[in-house]
Amino acid sequence: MKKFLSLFGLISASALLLSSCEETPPYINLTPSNSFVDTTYITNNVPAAQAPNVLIEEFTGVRCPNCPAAQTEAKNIAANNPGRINIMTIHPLGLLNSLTTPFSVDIGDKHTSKYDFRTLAGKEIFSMVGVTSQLPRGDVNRRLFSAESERAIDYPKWANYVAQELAKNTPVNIDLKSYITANDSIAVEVTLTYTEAVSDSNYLTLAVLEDGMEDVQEKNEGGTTIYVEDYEHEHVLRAVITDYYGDLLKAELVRGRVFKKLYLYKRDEKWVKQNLSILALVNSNTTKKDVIHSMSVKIK
Amino acid sequence: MKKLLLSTLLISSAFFAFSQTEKNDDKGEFSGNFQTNNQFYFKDSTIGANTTQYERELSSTDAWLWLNYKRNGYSLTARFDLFNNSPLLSPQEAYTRSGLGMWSLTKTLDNMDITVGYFYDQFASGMVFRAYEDRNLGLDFAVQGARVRWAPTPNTSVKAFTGLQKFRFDVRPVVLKGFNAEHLLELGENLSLTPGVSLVNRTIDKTTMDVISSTINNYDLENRFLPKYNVFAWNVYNTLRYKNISWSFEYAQKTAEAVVNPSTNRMELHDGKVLLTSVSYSTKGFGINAQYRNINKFSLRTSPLENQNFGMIAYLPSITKQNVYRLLARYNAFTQEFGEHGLQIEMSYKPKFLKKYQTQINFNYSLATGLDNFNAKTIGFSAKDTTRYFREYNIEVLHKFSRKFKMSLGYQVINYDQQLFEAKPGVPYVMAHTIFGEATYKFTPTHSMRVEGQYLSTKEDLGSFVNGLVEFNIAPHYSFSIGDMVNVKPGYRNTPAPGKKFELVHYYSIFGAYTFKTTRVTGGYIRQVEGVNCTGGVCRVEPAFNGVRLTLVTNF
Repeated sequence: MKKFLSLFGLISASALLLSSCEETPPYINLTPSNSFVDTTYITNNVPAAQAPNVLIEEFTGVRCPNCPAAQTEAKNIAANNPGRINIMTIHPLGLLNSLTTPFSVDIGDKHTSKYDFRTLAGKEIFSMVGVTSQLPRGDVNRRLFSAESERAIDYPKWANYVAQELAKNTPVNIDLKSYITANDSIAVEVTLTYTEAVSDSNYLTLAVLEDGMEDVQEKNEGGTTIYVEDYEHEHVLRAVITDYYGDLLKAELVRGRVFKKLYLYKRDEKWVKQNLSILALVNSNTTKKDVIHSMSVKIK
Repeated sequence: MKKLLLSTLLISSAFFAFSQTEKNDDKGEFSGNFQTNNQFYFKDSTIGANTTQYERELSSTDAWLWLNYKRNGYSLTARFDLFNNSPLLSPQEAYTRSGLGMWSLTKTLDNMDITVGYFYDQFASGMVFRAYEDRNLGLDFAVQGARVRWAPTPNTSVKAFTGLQKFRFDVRPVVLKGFNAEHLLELGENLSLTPGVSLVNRTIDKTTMDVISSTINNYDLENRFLPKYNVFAWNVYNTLRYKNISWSFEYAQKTAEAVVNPSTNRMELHDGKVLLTSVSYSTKGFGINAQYRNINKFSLRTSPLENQNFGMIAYLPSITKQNVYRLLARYNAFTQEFGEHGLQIEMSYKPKFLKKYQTQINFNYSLATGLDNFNAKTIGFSAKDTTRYFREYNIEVLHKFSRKFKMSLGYQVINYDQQLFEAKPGVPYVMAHTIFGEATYKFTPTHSMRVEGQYLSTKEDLGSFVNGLVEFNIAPHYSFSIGDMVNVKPGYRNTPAPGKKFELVHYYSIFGAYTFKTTRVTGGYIRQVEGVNCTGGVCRVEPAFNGVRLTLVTNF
């Protein structure tokens, strides 16, 4: 017994020491900001509040046969609420690899993907929202609804929660403009105007999305998995211009508070200019992650 | 909570059933205690007694019932905690909740005991781990988990645990693990060594880390860093005893983690070190103890987001003198975890040439400085050096004139960085001189009277005070006292406006106590100045108090 206990103690202490060797740190943005103009002031000329738009953040993978159904559901919700729904399709890098890894004949697949849609930004956003064990999953305004245990939920539930979110007000207006500069950078001009005071801290997140990419996708067709070689991938997250979790709005969020910001981000030459759009979110990033408003524009 | 109560009931049932089947000769032993503190608040804006209890709740109650049953090597402990409108856990809050505060089940085997539930423990002096309760300060750092203590030989102790730190009626979601081994080595009649080692690991949960990482992501780029989920702290220590000399040494180190720099209020990535050593010598009529501690960014809490007295895993009390008299205890030093040199020398001497050792002289010197500021100038006698965090000289002479009458007189000098310790920006550095004395006269073997007085002189803070107290004791049941502390001269913080006259501010106290067997009931009216309250070297800033305080303590 004594020998066993000595051995047990020794193994436990050694395991404690050894386990100190490696850990994966949380996401910290160590790259310089892409913000080039950043001013804030208070206006007496407070505009009328915009109707809030709702974000559907859909986590997906090219090897996920049920994911096309979730994408169809998101598109249907958007079609039923024109101009009020923003969809962001996220292929997380390094998570749920059996569902997200691109196809390649080199690893025994019958197809080879043209694109790798996975991004580190997508992984970090998925981690922040809460990684689930399966796909497809998606959140509505990154909100943890009282009847749910996770933010990222099954797609049949989205429509109900979207309706709830559409009925709310937003305290902030988003005005957004984006274009390609002469040196092939994406310029984003964003103005945030608070029509009501907010006591929580708020963050601005800007994401680059791309539509119209045809590539292979697994799909569940009546219980059988098929490979759709020309599946059109839309709203795909390509990059986050701000910090992945958003840039803090560093001023008291009183009524009439205005933030004017200009971001510049070098376009990846693989991204097709006319298929790109910018999505802007105003969100929390504490224990609450809620998105309180979103807006998207095509890049001109 | 319901689940917890149900679990406790199930454990209790199993415990009783099992313990009855093992041995029949042990009839078991039941013990417990009950304590309650009740306060009634009288609004008093002249002394700043204006917390929520004065405005709305008007009274508060704290109570604890602790029960323990031992039988056949099993020990079941449960404690009921009650806080009604209580400022105890946070002075600015009226906290109301009651329920099962802790429970534990321990099984003692031949040379081992196993505990599940909540437990209190510490490794060495507590520099890397101490789970303890201090009700006076509203602290309860019990760990909920499992612990094994094993004594392979009578002189050897090995401990290991894992668990979560208690926070009010919940636990913090940060996992703690620890291991400690200690051995007493007797090398002769007069020489012994007690070496030991410890290792503690803390793992931050993802929700807490999300807050940490989002905070770091909002720093300017040059101030960002990668925080750690895990921190490992270890220590080595030894106590050497040779005849009348004792030398203790403890060194602890922790791996890098996010630590708040108090000068920037921003997290930074640092490892930490702390060294504590003390030497003591005693002989008939003379005793000396000197201790030195160097802390370098050694803050070990459940998370870097915790501060003050919250989430403490490491116990780093101030190594200054724990004064009892009201004015001597007015200025106390918090430990500066980010960096501090601490030095304390205590001496006690009973001169032989004075009649039959009836005179005793006590001397204390305490010093706390920043890491770059521990030098001959700050250690030395120079009167005012505002770079010192804290310094105290305290000398006291006690003399027993007869079997009936004894008296003491003393003098204290304090240097105190009030900006640092009380977070009051712009206030000047405090220099305070206090003369104090006490006289006790026994009328009969059971009737005695004690008189104490202090005069504190300072131009800073709230100025000068006089405190006097008369206490009458009728042993073994009754004790009464009446006292007054008077703010006789204004200081920097309460200087009257031009043209206005300073009015004396009285802090009265009337107190009575009745003791019967193991029960003690006290009641009193107290008007108390705001200040730093310390117990066991751990301190907190407490607001002013005006009201009635009733307490009851009983053991059974």
